[in-house]
Amino acid sequence: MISRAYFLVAVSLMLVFAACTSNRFYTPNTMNIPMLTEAGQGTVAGGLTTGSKNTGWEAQATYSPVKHLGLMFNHFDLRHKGEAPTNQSSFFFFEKTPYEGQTRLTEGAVGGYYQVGPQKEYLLSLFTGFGQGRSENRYSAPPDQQSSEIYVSDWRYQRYFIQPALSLKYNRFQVGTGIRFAWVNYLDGNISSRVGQLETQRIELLENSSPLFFTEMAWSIGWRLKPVVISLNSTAVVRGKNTLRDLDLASNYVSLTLGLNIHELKKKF
Amino acid sequence: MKKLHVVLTLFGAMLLAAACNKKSDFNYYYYEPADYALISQYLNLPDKPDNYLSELPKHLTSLGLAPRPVQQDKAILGRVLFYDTHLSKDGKVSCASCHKQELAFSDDTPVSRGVFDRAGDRNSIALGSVLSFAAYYGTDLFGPSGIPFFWDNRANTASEQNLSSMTNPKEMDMSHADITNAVQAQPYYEPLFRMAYGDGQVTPARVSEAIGEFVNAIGSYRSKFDQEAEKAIGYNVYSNIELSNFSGFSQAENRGKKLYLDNCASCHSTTQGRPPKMKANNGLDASYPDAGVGGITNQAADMGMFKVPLLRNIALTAPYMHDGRFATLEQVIDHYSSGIQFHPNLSSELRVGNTPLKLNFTAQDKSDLVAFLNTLTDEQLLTEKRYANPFK
Ligand code: HEC
Ligand code: HEC
Repeated sequence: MISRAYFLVAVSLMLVFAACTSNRFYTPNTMNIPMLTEAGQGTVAGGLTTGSKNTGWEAQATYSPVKHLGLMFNHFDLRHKGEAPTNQSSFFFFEKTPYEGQTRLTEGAVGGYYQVGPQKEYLLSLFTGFGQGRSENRYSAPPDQQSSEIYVSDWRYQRYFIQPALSLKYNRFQVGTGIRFAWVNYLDGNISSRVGQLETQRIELLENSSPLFFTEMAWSIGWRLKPVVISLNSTAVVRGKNTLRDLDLASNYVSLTLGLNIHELKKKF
Repeated sequence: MKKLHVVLTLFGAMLLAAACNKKSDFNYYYYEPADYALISQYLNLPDKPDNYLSELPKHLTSLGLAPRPVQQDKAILGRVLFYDTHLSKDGKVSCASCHKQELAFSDDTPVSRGVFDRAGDRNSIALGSVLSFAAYYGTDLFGPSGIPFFWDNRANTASEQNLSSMTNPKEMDMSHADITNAVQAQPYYEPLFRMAYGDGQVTPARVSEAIGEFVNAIGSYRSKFDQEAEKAIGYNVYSNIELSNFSGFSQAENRGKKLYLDNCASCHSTTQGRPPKMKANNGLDASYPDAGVGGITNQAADMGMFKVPLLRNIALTAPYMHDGRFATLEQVIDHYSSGIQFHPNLSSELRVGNTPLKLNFTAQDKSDLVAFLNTLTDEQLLTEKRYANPFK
């Protein structure tokens, strides 16, 4: 009962934090925090995000072929919309233009896990991975142009990451937290600079500061209804550097995932 | 176990392959490919548009001088129009004929020649004499409260000004219908107007607005003087410039700065930001054939009064004064030193009672002043691509 109450509080808190950031240049996917303890264990999970500006889905899996060794797979697909400042229209005001975007990322990782603590209730893991993705943003023409044209920018990107994480599993309840060191390398792209000077400058900044390095922090809280786990996850970019702030990188990503622990399924039937 | 090896090897290979990948390489495009192909037959315009925002140095922005943002698409169109000789009656004259980039957008003759070699009335004003047109002049945003244009202050906005240049019989001599027809006849304008205005329709108002945007984007703020003023910036820009010698200046330049501040800055500005006076009489003649501001306002107090120009790039913009009477800076300084004539409207800075002042500069003073005026040159402006002639 207690766990359910905590769960609801956490849900509402996260929805508050998820507001108002831009997903145009990068959005962190949900950090996949492994809960593996034995060889043969595995999880598949599907995640969803919906909001007034975002709808996204994710597929994530972990599997341990041998004890202490894990494999990971993530796929991420997010559609988002918002307004981008495109031109400075006066000393104080920016012209804004609506945009719709989509970003996708597919990645794989390998790593190790280790149980620690008096009852071995803590699980430490370290994964490293690589993935490739693509982002597309479609901007409406700035208002002063009275045009129905759409200006498109799209590019491919790669991400490498190293991810240490810590998790804790109870009977009905699981929590996890992790840090992800991410290197994001923007590859080739086609950019319509018609979208406006400010946005073009941002995209140039993105290109010129590539590969971007930053840190992400995540936590996840799950409610275990064996073999199913419902979890709420939050992953946030730590926006320390000026570039990250200038780019207005999405700082926080929240998702709800429904997971299935395959080994528990086997036990059940 | 074998499977595991395969997985790990594959993963390692993937990481390696990825690590060898090249750096980011974004391709920026601005025009539709067909449009760009058409435009490129006539013009050298980059497919990634030039940035027309000026980032003024702090010593100028701290005075509250900020450039009005420029509308990029219109400035690009305006640049083409500025250099297009089709906009003149005889097809030979463009704005750039009398406003040459290599001369900080001024001309090197006392009076410029317009269409059919007709002589104008006055010396061309260097568009590169100001820190930023948009920050300096009357703009559509501030209207008449900005600084007015022309030697006689008769226009308030850049678009008002350039329409009058285009229709002036001594400059380009075009009627409004001529302007529209001339522009419509050139194939490269349809896409450029579409980019700037959403449709290809040509009107004189659009032509002049676009040229105005380009002119507003011109700015000169990277001279040696600016670099030194920027270094000195602290609590008060004025006292920084006034009280201390600039470390990067030679002794002659610093002495010249002091002479300038004592004798000239009250009209021509300490910071080369905005002049403290919009108009003045500097005693060129006892009676003026050209009444200047008075010719527009018909006020006795305005007779013989002229715009006080800023002196940025002054070394490049000879000849000097509204009629181009002085060929060199030495002659200008000789005028202030011993040649000031009495005129009823002679400004108070240059007279004691009814006697014109003689500043009586020594030969050393004169060469020091010239050395200082030379520090106001902004070399970058003279070759900057975004302001250059785009025609092939
Ligand atoms: C035939 C030579 C000639 C041509 C062509 C010409 N100008 Fe000028 N321009 C002048 C002269 C001379 C003045 C000063 C006139 C005056 O003050 O009465 C001037 C003044 C100006 C000024 C005022 C600057 C200031 O600081 O007050 C601007 C701006 C300007 N011109 C822009 C243009 C533009 C834009 C065009 C093209 C549409 C153009 N000119 C075409 C000769 C020319
Ligand atoms: C009373 C105000 C005043 C003072 C003081 C003054 N000037 Fe001027 N200056 C003017 C005016 C007004 C003009 C334009 C006059 C004209 O063309 O009829 C001018 C024009 C000039 C020009 C020519 C600008 C051009 O683009 O053609 C130069 C150079 C110049 N002054 C230098 C100086 C120097 C150097 C001093 C100090 C020794 C000085 N001025 C002091 C008002 C002043």
